[in-house]
Amino acid sequence: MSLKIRYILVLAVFVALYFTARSNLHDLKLTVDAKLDHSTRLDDASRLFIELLDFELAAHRFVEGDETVRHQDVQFAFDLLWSRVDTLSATDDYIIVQRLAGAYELFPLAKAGLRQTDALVAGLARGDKGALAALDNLFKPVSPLMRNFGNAAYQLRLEHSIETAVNQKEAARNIDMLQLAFLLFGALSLFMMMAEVLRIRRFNLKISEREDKIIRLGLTDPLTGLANRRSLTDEIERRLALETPDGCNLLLIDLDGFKAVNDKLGHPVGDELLRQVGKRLQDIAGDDSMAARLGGDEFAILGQPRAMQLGELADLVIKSVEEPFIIGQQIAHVSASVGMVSLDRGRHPDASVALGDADIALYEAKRSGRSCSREFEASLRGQRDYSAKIDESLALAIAEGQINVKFHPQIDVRTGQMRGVEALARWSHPELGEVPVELFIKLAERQGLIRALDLHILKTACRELIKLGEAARDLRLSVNVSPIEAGRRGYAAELLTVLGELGFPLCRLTLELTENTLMEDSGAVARNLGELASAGISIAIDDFGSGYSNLSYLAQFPFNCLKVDKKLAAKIEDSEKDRIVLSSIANLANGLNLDVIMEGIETESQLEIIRSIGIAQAQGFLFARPLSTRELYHFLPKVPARHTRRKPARKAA
Amino acid sequence: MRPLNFLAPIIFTLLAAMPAMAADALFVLSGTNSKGEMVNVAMTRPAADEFGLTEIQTKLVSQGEDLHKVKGIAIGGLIKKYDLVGGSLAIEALDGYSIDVPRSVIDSYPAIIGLEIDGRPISVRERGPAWLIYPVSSFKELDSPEFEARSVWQIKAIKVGNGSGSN
Repeated sequence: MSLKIRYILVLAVFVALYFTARSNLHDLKLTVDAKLDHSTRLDDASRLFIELLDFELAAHRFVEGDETVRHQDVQFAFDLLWSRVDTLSATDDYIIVQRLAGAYELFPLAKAGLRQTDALVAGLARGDKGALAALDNLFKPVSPLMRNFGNAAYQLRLEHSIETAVNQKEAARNIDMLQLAFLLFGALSLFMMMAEVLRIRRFNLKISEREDKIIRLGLTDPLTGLANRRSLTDEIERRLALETPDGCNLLLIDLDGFKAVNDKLGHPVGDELLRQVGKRLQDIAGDDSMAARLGGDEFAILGQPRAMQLGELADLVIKSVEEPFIIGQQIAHVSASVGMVSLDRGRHPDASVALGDADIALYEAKRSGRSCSREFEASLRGQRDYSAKIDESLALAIAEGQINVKFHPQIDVRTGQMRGVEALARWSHPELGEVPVELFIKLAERQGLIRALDLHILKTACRELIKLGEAARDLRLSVNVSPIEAGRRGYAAELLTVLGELGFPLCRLTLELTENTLMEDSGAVARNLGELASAGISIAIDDFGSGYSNLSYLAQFPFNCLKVDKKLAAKIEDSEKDRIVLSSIANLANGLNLDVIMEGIETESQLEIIRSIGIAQAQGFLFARPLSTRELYHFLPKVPARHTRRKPARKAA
Repeated sequence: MRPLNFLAPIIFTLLAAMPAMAADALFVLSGTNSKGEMVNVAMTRPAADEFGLTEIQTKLVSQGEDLHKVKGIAIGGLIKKYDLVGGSLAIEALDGYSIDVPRSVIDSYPAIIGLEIDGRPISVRERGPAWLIYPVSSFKELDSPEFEARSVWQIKAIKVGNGSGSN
């Protein structure tokens, strides 16, 4: 039952009790009033016969000569009797009396008697026995009636008083019952109130438990139960406030390969893995140190468990995380990169600086490869700032055309003539200078800017070559395509539209894709490449020989050209085996009717080797560094204007 | 009994005097004043006239609903005049009826000892000569059997004191 209804019910019962009590008491009062009323009337009635006797006695004593009784006393007794009869018979007020036995006969008779004796009494004299006898005679018939009437009145009064006593007893019992009811309900409501108080106390307890939980949740990571970033920050602040925080270590731990586990085995497995990592780190931290999860796959340890040095601790963490995780039927592997810093009141004015330092060290550890740790050094801070600045200004750089294109010539090794150029992106940052291309390409991919960047490079390269006019009209152009772009739905159509607008002949264009592009989503990539190839655009596989070199791709996709990775070029001078590998690749390409371009040719002997193997084209510093448009223009005259091998392509143009 | 013996002649004298008093006196008012002195006043009609009469208009017990002009002594004022102390009035009637009326009733309501009804002195046959009458028609709460019982007619004596314990 709801609280409201219970209270209303109790209140209703109290009101009902009150009205019952009131009505009972009211009834009692009415009864008492009636009895009192009757009692007075009956009292009057019972006096009637006595007053008759009083009168008769006074009359007799007066007539018989009693000196103590005067005539006026007789008259007075007569008047009293008269008044009594008058009163008793007067109005309805005396109905109770008028209904008594014999009253009906009595009152007319008494009144007649009084009137008849009035003159007699007024003239009564001492010794007048005749008058006395007359009086007696006149009252004779009335006297027994009055006696009976008086008795009846007395009797009734007695009965009434007994009845009253009974009623009063009854009333007392009723009042007792009411008191009991009030007591019971009082006790019940008290009980209810106490129950209510208990309920409220329980409720309050629940609320405070919930508050505790909220506080706990605010300070712990719900997934692993470890401390969260906030409580780690608080703990760092607390330790920094101590006199000697020295010897207190902060380790930031980032899992490598966690994303792959999540993607391949699903989020529940990923979550369980994070829980198990949390448990391992907690075991390492022990009771004196704090293990925390900062979010995602990032963890931390704060303190100096078992008095270990920084390096020891990091190694232990890495080793522990590398142990396989058994999750249900699955086995998952991850590794950890660790950034470390020793808390120092001098260098760390607050927790955010300490965390920042550890983060820089972690970043460096990640850059260095998986499963390693780096301790923070002041010099790292500069690198970190550099990356951050590049991160910030990339979008603007693309939008404002700060990213330029340079052209790396592709040379026919037999004739020494330039056959084409590979467009390379170059970013000269106004403050930081040249930014490594791998760095900003990776950043663009991460920031979702790669589409804009790829388009920018393609458009710039095409426009520049068009600018060169007649001199460059047979020059082929190679442009790198990001794996993300190659697998994007609608990429081919968009590219063809752009090229149409630019007016660059499709037959002179080669798109270079790395091998890992093909691994991503071969279906979408194949559709895009098929569309582009049938439009007349050549497709090259880039950096071949550096990765898996899956030969099936060569048959699967519509390639026209194979570019051999420059790492292989660096080795062919010294390694017979690598020369055989290169030779096999060249044979394979010939067999599949693919052009081969060797990258990274820097020496004459390398050139000689590839020439002997029969590779037709090469790219490298031996011929030229990447050239600006102006430099390319100057480079051009050395190349005969009209010499092209790909006649069908010209037809297509 | 001995200490009371000396009272015997006094009581006798008083009893002997009573009929004589009844002849002239309307009723006897008695009690103790605030100085502790016994007060015993035989109220006569001239004394009443001298005290001053008050008139109220009200219905009378067992005389229907008609209003009557009742002239008489304001009982509250009379008790004040003689400075009588006590919380209760024991009122006795000629027929021997007697009842206690709380002093508070007298102080709260302008009750009078009626001596005339509608301009005529009240005879014994009409429940006179002195009748304690409440302004029942002006104060509805007085219209009850309780007050009817307290409306004593043919008053013989009024004793102011602390109650006899009856009613």
